[in-house]
Amino acid sequence: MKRTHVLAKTANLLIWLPALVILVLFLADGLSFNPISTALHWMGRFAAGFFVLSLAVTPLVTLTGVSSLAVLRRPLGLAAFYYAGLHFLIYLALDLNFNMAMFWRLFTRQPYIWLGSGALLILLVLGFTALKPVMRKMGKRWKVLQRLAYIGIFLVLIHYAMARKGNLFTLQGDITVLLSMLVITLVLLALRLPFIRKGILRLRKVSR
Amino acid sequence: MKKRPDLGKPIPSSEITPKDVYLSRRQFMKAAGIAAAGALLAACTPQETPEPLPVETDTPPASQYSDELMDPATSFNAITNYNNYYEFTVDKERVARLAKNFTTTPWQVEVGGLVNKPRTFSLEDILALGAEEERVYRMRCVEGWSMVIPWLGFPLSALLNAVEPFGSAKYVGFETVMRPEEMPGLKDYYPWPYVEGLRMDEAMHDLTILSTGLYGERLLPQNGAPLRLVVPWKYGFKSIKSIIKINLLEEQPPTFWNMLAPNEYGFYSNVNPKHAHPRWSQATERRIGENMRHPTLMFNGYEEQVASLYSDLDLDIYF
Repeated sequence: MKRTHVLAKTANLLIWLPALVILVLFLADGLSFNPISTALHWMGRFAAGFFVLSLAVTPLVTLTGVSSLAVLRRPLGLAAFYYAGLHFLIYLALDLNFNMAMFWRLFTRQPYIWLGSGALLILLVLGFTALKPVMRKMGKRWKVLQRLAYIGIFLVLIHYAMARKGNLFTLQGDITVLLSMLVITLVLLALRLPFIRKGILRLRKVSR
Repeated sequence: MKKRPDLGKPIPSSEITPKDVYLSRRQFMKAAGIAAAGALLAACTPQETPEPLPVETDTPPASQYSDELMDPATSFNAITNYNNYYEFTVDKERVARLAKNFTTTPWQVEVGGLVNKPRTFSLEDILALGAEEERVYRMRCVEGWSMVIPWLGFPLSALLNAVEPFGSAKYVGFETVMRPEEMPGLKDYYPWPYVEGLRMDEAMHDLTILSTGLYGERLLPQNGAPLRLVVPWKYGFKSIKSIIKINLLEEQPPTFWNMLAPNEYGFYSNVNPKHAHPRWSQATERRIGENMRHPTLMFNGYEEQVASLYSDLDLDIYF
């Protein structure tokens, strides 16, 4: 087997580790005295975290020149989708007990719910088009569609910011994780800007 | 997670009632059993053997406490290990550990402002003011979770009456201790110290208590030892912890969360399911230790007692 295959296969397995730990802790009464909220928040944090990591792959290849790292993009992107799905499922099933009337009321009145739903929808589209046959059929359009991820990550971060008691604008409250994700995302997006990317590529050639 | 009784599994510590509480309950049961047996003996002819006394089992009974709605009290373990106390940390589960060595003796509370007899009370002075009562109150956090807590305390009015407020006193301001060497969270960027306030009529209301204990024990630091406010019809953050200063004022005092985000946390902050937080709903709450959400009640279920305080206020403007 090729090295890249091993890397992708390992990543495909490892992405499930956090979910497994959360599940075991949940069943063993180890998730605080508010386990449903805690499980919900951890799934959300991992969804956001994997999303940021998946966006880090391309800049990482640019920076290091190790092109085989690119195989990580797919498992990390899919992980973001899986954890967002689990996050939503816990919310609907355990937090709201499938009370759809309540979900609808919240959906229409609470912006953070439709921001989160929007992000989930984007991840769903990206996850579906990650299927090899769909990918092949889409051809060039696939790459354009992937740009939805940039909208998606900002929806996720705003959704996260709005669900916290802290206040991102005055930098107060429990915002450390959120703030680091935001900064990393902005750096990663900056690294994709063509002139920055070309600059880095040139520097790498010079130093070699 | 709340579990159904399962003989094969150990009971999580979160469900175990503190030892002295269930022991005292057992003593009570025993006494009741003896009394009942005595009554039985007196009523019947004595040839019958008395009913056997209640058998002690190894499983402690569920909490003996419940509120007036028959909602059972939250476990002692949950109450003392799931706390919002930002002076220590914003992480609810780490407060208990970080607050463990917090010094609560000696403790002094300075009561002053618009009063005839300003005075600095020691905790002992305060405890001598009035008999402590048990009050089982619901506690609704603005974040959307709630507990039922058997407090020990006495009406705040007893303390206020002792210092004889002027007629001009319209508000009461409270302040939490600031001790950076013991409270690592004070390093975080917030408008410390934590301050809170009540309108005079709210402060004098019989439901408003100063608490010194819960579950029959002295308060632990994470719950606001040695002295805290409890205002059960308002969101939890109004019930300020570890009080060192009480001030009677003519003007409405600034309050901590209101300073942070005035559009999100009002001075009143009465529990109100119909007034959503700008970013999330307040219609329901997660009761700690249970799986189903509870509908949030107007004034946290104390509407009958306190609604009249606000009859001339638009609660959507004065939220």
